[in-house]
Amino acid sequence: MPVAFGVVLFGTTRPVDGSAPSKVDAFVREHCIDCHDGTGGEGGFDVGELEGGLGDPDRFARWVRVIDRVRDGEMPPPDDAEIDAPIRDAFVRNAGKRLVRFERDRNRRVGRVEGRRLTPRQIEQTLADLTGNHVPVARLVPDPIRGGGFEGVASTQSTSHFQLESHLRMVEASLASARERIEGWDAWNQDLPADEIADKRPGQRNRSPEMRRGAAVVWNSRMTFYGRVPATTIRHAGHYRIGLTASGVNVPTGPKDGGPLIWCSVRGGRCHTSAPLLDWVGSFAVDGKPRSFTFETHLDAGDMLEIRPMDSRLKEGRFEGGQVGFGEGEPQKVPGLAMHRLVLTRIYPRGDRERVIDRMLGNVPADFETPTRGPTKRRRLSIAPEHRDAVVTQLRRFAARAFRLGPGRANHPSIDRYAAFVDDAIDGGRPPVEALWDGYTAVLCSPRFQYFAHPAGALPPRDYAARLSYAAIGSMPDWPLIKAATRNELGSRDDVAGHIDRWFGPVAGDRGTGQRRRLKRFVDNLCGQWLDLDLIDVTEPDQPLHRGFDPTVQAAMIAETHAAVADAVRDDRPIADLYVDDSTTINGRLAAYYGLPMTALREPTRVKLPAGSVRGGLLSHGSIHKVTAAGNETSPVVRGVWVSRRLLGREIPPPPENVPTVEPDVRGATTIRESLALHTADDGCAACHRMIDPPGYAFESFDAAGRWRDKYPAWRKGRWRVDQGAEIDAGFETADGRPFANFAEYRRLVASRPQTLAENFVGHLVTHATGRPPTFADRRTVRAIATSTAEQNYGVRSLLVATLDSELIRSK
Amino acid sequence: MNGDRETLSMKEKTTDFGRINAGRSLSRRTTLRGVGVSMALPYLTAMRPAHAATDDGPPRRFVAFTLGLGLLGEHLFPNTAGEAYETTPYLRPLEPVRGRYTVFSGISHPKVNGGHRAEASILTGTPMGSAGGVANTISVDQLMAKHHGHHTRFASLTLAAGGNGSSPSYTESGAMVPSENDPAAVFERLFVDGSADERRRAAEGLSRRRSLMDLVAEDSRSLRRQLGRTDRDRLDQYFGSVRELERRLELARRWSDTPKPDAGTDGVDRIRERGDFVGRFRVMADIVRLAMKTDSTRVATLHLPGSNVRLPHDDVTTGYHSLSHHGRDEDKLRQLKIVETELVQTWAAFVGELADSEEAGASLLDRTSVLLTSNLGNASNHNNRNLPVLLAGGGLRHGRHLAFDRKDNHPLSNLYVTLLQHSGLAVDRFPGSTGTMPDLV
Repeated sequence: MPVAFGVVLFGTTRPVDGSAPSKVDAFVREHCIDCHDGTGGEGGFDVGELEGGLGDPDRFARWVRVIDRVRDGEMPPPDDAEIDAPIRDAFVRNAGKRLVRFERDRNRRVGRVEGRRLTPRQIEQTLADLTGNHVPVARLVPDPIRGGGFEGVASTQSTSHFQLESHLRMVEASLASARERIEGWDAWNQDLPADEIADKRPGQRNRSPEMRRGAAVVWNSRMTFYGRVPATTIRHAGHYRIGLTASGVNVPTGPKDGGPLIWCSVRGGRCHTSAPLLDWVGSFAVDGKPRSFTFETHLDAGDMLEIRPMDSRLKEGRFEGGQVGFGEGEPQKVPGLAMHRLVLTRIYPRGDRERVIDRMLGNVPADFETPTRGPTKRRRLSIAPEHRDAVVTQLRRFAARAFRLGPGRANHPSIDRYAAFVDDAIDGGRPPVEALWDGYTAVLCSPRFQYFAHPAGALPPRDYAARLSYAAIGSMPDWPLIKAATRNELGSRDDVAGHIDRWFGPVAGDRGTGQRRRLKRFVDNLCGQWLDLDLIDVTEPDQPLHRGFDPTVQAAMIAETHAAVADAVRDDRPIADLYVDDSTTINGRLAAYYGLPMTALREPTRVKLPAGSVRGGLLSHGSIHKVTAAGNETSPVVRGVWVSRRLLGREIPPPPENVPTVEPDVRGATTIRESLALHTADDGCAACHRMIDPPGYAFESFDAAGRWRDKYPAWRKGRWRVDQGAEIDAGFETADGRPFANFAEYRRLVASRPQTLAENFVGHLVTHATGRPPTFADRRTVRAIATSTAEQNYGVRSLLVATLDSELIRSK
Repeated sequence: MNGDRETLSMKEKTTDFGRINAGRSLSRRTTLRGVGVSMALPYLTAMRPAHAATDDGPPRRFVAFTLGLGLLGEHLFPNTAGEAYETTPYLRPLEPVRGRYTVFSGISHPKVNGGHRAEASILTGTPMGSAGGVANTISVDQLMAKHHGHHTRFASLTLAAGGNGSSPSYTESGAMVPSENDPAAVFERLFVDGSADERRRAAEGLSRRRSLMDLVAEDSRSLRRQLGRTDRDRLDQYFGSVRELERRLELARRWSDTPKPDAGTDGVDRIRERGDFVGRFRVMADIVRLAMKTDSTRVATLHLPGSNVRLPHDDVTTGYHSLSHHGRDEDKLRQLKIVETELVQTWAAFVGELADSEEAGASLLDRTSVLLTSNLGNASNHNNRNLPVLLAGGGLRHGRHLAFDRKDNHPLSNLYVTLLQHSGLAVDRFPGSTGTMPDLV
């Protein structure tokens, strides 16, 4: 019967094959068509839209919506019609079967998800693994489009020559840097005593530190680039370790004036008006006593460090004309940062030069010529043309890894044309090194490198290994994983768990540097996309309304979220504890911002929260409140939709075309809540708003920068006054009718449904790992994955392993 | 600078990838009809001199200024329609060129929603939906570039006054064209020649990359064969991109022998303040003017992203994005008006300068259609109806306020069809269009 794949007809017509109309059609005719007939159908829905092939994504989504609303008893409206449960259930079951059958059939033919491209971040990590040398190349290309937060969603990807050109740029930058590593002796280190950190003679005015009592001092001020240290100007782009010994000057004593520490920041950039962007390196806190701090970061050639007090609560120095004159800060008695020693060391996080030589040259006999002139100590790499065969073999070895072919597959036919190209080029007189690097460039532009493209059906072990690896560590499969794939040792959940343990360290056990680094990368990627933390800088709250919020606070908020997710993965903590927790990881600056007593903590530390605190758990993280706000604005609708989709796993369809948006009006006549109440009184709006509004209202207790508020701000006498507007009312009831009086009660209700939270987490992991969010047909699998971890209290690590082990990940 | 136009014809590579873009809502039949290209050709025809039909007559140029945050309608739209409309605060700087531009009202893209997300639809007219499953279609500027791009060193310029590389320009495969946002770098690319040695090395690099892309294209084709039907569309798109990049590298190499034109200036103003997005907008507009004047390109877009930086101005204390969420707050509305006045003034100055520039006896403005529009009609509630739309020049009939129904908007794409037709393309529809824009030609 053609109905299975979509020709469904209602109204007066019978199914095209002349058979009796199905029960599903009969239900629609009997219970829906009266109100939803034609373009003027109620709620903007016309059952005619359901007619036709399910291949149309809009129609498919419409069907899902119909089934869900009938299932939840929302439609037909209970006030208008009463439907017996068996009839309702039969409709839901039978209509659902149609959709599932349609999807399963398509999955069988072409796979659940289209072939997709590696994201720029994945390419960056893979190039680092292939060459043994990390270069932050993802910055060289435009940000990828995101789908539901995630970068690698297949349906959002499209390719053009522009995209390919930027890919080529990443590849060339990475290969050029690998060559520099092989040829160069670029051990550029700096050990600066205070008088070299300072760059200001008496009488001089600039934005650098000045010498004061044997230390290089930067006073507290908001002036751009003040604290720039020209002596740190970088000659070679690369990773650096920064060692700083510093203390505070005029350290405030109590929390009232920002004490007992002075919070400072390290940032890197050109520190010039023509290139004003600064990359965040880290924050640190000083008191009167000199202490040492260490940071690691990547810096570009021409970058320098800016090191300064960074705490908007502190008293600021006043300086004229955009410069700070020697000695002008002293009489103002403002807090300052005193630097005693600054050491810059070039580091190679992915290994030493020998590793790069192994990756890029293998067994090819290479010569190094020291140039007779020129300023650098660079030695020119060359290969004699008689080593042509060795060069071609090396190209094959490299390509086999780049194409994820597995061990012993360097003779795979897919590499032949690249090998022949290099062979011919050397034959034609191209210097062998250049020919080899040309070959690498071409290999890395091949779709075999850039794409996950598989035949439909169950993935071959090597392709599964690639999915596993990119999902967990964001890069290509490593040697033990490839070995396991080749031996067919990836078939069980224990196999998967074993590799996760190997990568991230065993549950609650000790871990090495590599394991910490991989776990950090997983957590950064996950939080950046699932929780939108990558976008936290898109808007900035204004100072008068959000006094005390500054880059130091924001960095501490991000660190709090990263720590919560990392701990959950590391220790297999229950998913509900990720949402609501009696402990959290904060430093003294964030503690003060949150109004907590631990203001003397210099480092992010996991602390037990006082009884009754609203903090602890994702729902209370300032980072989450910040990413769900725009500038100074918070909207219960925007936040409610975000929380529903990202944290609660509820799909919220977009508002219908004909619904006017609430025009925000801050003049005080109405609260947003009153405006919303008006339009949610309408049945059509209420369907979604009963899901959106509860988290939206509960979050009203937090302002756009994550601070608790009891009242809205008010515009009085020409300026904003915090806490002088209308009272916040955060109470409401959940979609299933459980009332809550305030945020604290709401979050308890959320945490009481761990299965829901687990399913939500699994869903986002599926999107992350496969490039497609779970579909209608995947729902049952997602539920089963979550349920299978119930015994572990839905532990986050268990959920990760169970998801990666599932058939969703194991087939195309 | 007439280059090697005659020699640009490349060996036609016929492939089994002929219909790369089949199934998109903008059918190739529609876009190609009547421009002398047979349907059997692959889509990679942008640089082919086969479009000789459009070589006749004066050059047709197109510039689109697009704003990420719209304009306050109350200061923009006149109350009365027709020629006798009374000017408005935002339109006042345009009085000197009143007869040479048109202000539209009651215009939008049907079915295009989603607030900021609609930025992707400004010049394409295609609703992007929220499911993320919809592919975008070619933008009006890129469609023009496709047909006029072979005349000039650069087929098109895609610029932005800030942002992270996003733009309203989309290729035929629905991929965003990344924007350039560093004025000095754009100026250098357009007008500054390297040394002879640098140029030789650059040309060699272009040839080398081209041959590498050829190798990759062959591999893409063989991979596609192995995969069968599952990922064929993906691989087709990739193959098309590789071939197009090859073609562009070859063109760039040919142009590398031709010295770049003299812009008549050594560089552009450097914008010192980070937050001075209006200044950056103005400098970029200046570069577009120089590019048009020197015939370096005939198609350009300049986007102003809705970032939240604060304009350095004594009476502006709040970030631009925050101002756009004014919520009817009087103070924010007042500040927003200051910012927006400057933005419209920048457009007005651009139009005025083109009007004063001559090319072969005609005003440059008469050969250049200059558009100003946005994806937002009301940024405060993210509404995508009643968009600001201003159009100047291009030899069209101007001097009026063309007012359409504010409640039931007229499609913006009708204007695009008119502009495309006027530029010599025999196109009769564009996503969202229902016809052409009346009374312009």
